[in-house]
Amino acid sequence: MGKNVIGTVTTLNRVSAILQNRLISEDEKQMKATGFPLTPREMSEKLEELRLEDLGKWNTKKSKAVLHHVLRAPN
Amino acid sequence: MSYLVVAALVTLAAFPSFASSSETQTSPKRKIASVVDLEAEIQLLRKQVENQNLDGAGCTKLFEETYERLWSSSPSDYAPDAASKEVLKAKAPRLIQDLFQTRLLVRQRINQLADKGQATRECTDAARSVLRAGRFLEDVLGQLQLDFPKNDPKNMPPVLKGEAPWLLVNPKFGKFELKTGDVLISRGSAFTSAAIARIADADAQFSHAALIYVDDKTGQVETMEAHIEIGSVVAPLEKYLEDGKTRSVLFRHQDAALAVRAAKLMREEILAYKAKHKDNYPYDFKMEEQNAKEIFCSELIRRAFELASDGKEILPRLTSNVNPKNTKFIERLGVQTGETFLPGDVELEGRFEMIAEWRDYSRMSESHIHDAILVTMYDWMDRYAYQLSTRVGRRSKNKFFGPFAAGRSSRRFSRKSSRRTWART
Repeated sequence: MGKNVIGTVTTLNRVSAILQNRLISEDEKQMKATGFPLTPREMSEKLEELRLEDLGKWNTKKSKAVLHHVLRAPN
Repeated sequence: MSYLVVAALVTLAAFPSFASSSETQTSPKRKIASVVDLEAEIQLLRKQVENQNLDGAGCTKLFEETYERLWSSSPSDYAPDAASKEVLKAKAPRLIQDLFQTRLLVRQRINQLADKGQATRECTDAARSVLRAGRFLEDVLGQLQLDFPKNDPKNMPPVLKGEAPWLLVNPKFGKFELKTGDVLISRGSAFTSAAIARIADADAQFSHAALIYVDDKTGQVETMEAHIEIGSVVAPLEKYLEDGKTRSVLFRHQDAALAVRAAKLMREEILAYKAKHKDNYPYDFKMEEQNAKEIFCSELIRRAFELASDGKEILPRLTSNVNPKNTKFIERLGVQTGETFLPGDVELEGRFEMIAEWRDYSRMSESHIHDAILVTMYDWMDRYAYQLSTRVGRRSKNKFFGPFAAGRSSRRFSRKSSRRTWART
């Protein structure tokens, strides 16, 4: 198994964990409000909100961004 | 006469969506706004799938529109208050069975179209979407029926055991037991499982496949599996069950003798390789179908049936296409683009009968979240040319888990953490 594969999977897990934490929080809110979990479409919308929020931080104060350190378009 | 009029009015009141069936069939954006609408939607799909005149173009339209309606509606749309939620909960057992039976019919219809050469890529991809949406809906209804996540799953049945909604069995088979040559496809609980399940152009819900062998004399059940971490192995079924499956579906080839031969030959090949090389048959990271020196999980199934039929039985008939716009991620994993046989393809394979489907409701929310993350991440990669940066030092690690991690996930998913880097897929 190459280093590339291990590095890629490790980073995939890091990014996914960041996104998962955000979704869990949103899913809990939705469960309390409606009694149902978020649908996949709603989850994608929440993730897009996080991406934009994080992109704003990345463009202004990088240290506050959590997502764009590991997942972003190359400069 | 008056009885007929009354009966017609009652039917229209009970199933308003049938009131204008032509409108329904041409209104993909019509919302499912009530429990009655949902019931009607499922009945309508079933009725249309049963239509023998359905052709390739009709198939694409039907499944794309049904998917659009199911996907754009949330349970909170059709059960917005406590009363309607109770109605939905009471109807959940029957709706789950209806959806399951409809999914069996979709499989059947797709294969009839494939027989006639009408199962186009668009049609099969749309069918996969409908199967996925149907399964998601069953997940939500099952959670509602069992009162998850509030209800602690202490009495959860093991994989392929229990009753509905945990285990759904094809009525054609009734009680079943594992047989040599059976195929199990499953979904693991790691992020990499979601990455594999969603890697193709048409998303699937499965990340792993295994072949069953039952010893004639002892009755001991073994699985033959290709694992990313260790390559191909023959192991007791208990090992497979320990890995933490979110879903598991059992399939059986229509030719029982061929299936037995396939499992026996594959078992011999894996054991012979191990004896000769003192190591397991290596894992095929490229996911190349024609690579006999290395094997990935579904390729093991393909190879077994190919061996048993002297090359005549080539699986699958309907393949997956891995063709993202941004190939950086899959290149780093070593996966080649193009057509391949993924675990989810077994679901549409007409030469296999679907026997039973089992799911772990305690892992369902986590699985849905993983799916959404990987789908969105792949979308970002395609849309914004995003890449995963692997040049991240350890010093920065806390930063990534800092403000967003804060242990929130560990509280909800603590029992079965998904942060293992190399959890079984």
